[in-house]
Amino acid sequence: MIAIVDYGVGNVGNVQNALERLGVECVVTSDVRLVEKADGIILPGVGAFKSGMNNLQGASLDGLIKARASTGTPLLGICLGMQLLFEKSEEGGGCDGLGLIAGEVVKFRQGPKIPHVGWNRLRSLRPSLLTSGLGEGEYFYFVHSYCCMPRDSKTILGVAEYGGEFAAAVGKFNIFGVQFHPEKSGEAGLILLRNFIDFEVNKCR
Amino acid sequence: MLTRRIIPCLDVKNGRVVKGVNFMGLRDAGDPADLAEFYCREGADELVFLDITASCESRPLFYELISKIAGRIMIPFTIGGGIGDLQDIRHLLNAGADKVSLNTAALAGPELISRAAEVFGSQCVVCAIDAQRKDDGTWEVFTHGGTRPTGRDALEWARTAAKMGAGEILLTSMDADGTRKGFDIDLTRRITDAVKIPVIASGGGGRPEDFLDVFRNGRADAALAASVFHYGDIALPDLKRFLNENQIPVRMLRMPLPELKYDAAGLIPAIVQENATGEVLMMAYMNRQSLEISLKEGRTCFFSRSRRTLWRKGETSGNIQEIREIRYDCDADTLLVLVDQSGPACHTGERSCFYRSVESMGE
Repeated sequence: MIAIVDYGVGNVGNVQNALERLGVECVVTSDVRLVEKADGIILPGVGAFKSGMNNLQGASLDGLIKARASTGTPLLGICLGMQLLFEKSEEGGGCDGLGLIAGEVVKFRQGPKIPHVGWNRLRSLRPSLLTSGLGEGEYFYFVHSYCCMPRDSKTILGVAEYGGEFAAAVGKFNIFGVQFHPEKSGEAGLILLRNFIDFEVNKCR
Repeated sequence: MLTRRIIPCLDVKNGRVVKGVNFMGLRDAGDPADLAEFYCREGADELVFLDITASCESRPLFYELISKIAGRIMIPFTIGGGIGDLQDIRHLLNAGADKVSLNTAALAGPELISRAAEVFGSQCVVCAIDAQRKDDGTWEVFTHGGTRPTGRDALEWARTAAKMGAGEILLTSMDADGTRKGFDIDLTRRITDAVKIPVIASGGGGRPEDFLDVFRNGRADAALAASVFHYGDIALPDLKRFLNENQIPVRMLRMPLPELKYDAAGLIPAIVQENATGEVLMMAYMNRQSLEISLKEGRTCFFSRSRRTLWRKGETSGNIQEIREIRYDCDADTLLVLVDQSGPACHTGERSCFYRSVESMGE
């Protein structure tokens, strides 16, 4: 069972729709007990970093997610969920994140228009179970005004170009983050979500 | 690079798509979810649904419809028409809409834009502007489905909406709308120059050239049209191919590759055979990316497991392999690549990598 964490930031139903399409058993929840026993955790979300982090803390989910991710449970952060994996963000005057991946989140400065909205290509930098089976330069749907700056370049799985390249997909062991919305990215998005669901199975093979 | 978006727009009345939409292979041409799925397959980048239902009693039905659509398509979609307050927006987003398009209510009280942006984020707030050209060369904003003049200047309103926190502008030229004689390039360009948020141009798209024009000269980030798509006058794949050929970056659909079985690392073994003689030359691994490159370039490209990178065969040695055919086996987990080999295939200088016999070993 996959827990899609509902922490009051935007519409999480579409992630559930996508997983149901894949025939994956999942639950949208903010219940620590369900997150505690989930086989995998998805942290979705659009919106502001600070309120996202506050809501996670308010529901006592921040420590739990960190603990579970640190002990090997597959975790996928989507959009704001990816940003929350980092140590801190400059959004809203600065706020600490979960600190699962080294680096910080900064306002998108390089792009011609902010927010960066639309379909952009993911250029894969290193092979990963998450992006396995995807074509070269596959298109994904992005909507964001902030972007992640990983400190360790080895955690960057893929980049997208928008007035310069930025980290669009990151990964460190069982912890993954994507700046785009796989649940809104057609077939390519489904492949990526399938890969995440299969991570537990595949890594053992 | 960010692509320009093509957005079909569907008018929905009492839960049904209005206007004579008729496509081959649609179970129900009036069902918004069926049609949405069709456009998705055709390569639409987003969809817009406008609720033109007269009565508000049917609103709950509309929310249900949105949930149904959200369960069927995996691209973003926007809902517009009759959105009056935050509660409305909340219902629509909860039902599964990605964005809402505000028009009349935003002009009546622009703080709806800022409050919606605060609560739900700018990314889901689209400000729709219906504009009509005036004799003095400026454009006036209309509300209530283009029936009521507001006296407001379109440029000024676009700037205000952007400042209030709108994430995008959906700009409809009332003069061009329905003419199929091309988008209002002048208006589009003025607005795209005036704001830093993405602008969706609408009204007047009749030929593929019109779309090229609004992207190239109007600098639109996206183009929206309805009837040209619904009546099948322009097919989305053809339009995208045309734009792509004219150097407008658009999202092309995934290359239709057979369902191959890649291993846990995303790799599939590829046996390479000399096309003319049937001689087995080598065995290497491909991933989806290297296979696509091979197909695109007509020369083999593999994935090196030791170096963890792609490698184009012959890149340094010059001993390239021109591909004649790529086959896959009965259980789709091995490729057979028929090639014309230049020079030796093996890095040792042997013609084939299989130049040793197991029997002779240890003699």
